Amino acid sequence: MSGELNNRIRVFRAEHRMSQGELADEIGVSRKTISTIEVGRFVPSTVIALKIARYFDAPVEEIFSLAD
Amino acid sequence: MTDKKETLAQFYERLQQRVALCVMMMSVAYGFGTAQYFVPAVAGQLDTLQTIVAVAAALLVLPLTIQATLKRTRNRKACKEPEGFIAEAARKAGFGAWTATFIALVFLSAVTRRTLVDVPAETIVQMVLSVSLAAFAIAFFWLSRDVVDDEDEFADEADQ
Repeated sequence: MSGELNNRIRVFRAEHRMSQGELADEIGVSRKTISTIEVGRFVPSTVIALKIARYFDAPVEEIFSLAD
Repeated sequence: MTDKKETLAQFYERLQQRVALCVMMMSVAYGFGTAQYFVPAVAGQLDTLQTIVAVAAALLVLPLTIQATLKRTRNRKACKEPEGFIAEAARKAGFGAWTATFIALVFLSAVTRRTLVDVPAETIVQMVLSVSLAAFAIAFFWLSRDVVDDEDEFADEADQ
């Protein structure tokens, strides 16, 4: 296990036809935070990860997972 | 694209970027202060420059700091994005600045034993401050730089 964090935020956003800015507004962070999480440049805190999961009404492990 | 109202998270991001810019300016100001000892012929001009840059830095950050205080007073529960990307960049830059300060102090303690013996403590302090603040600002701007794949494919749709 490499410890690298994968995420499916872009997929969930696409399903909801939602921009990074809209998601950022919904969970109270900046658009840059969302964009850097999506590309794997920034590992979000547990609070942000849980807020994203709650917003999409999905388990957090469905959105974030560790790379094999 | 329509003009959207700035969210609190965006505001705090802008505030942190402005603070980093002012930190860079203060680094330059302390650099002028240091240079006064080494170039005494233009010490007067350097002193004036140091004051101008320091005042400009203060004027640059003061309005946003007042705004931030007002926002905090009005809405204590407001999100300050304490765990966002920019806050993380600032934390990492702080660690980089601490490391740079430590290295600068170790280097100067060695150098001032043999050479630069007569350099006043004030100059040494200004030198270390300059290095420390520059390290913070440079690290912050590097860590928070934009990346090429930073795109928002549904942004146009959202604006319509």
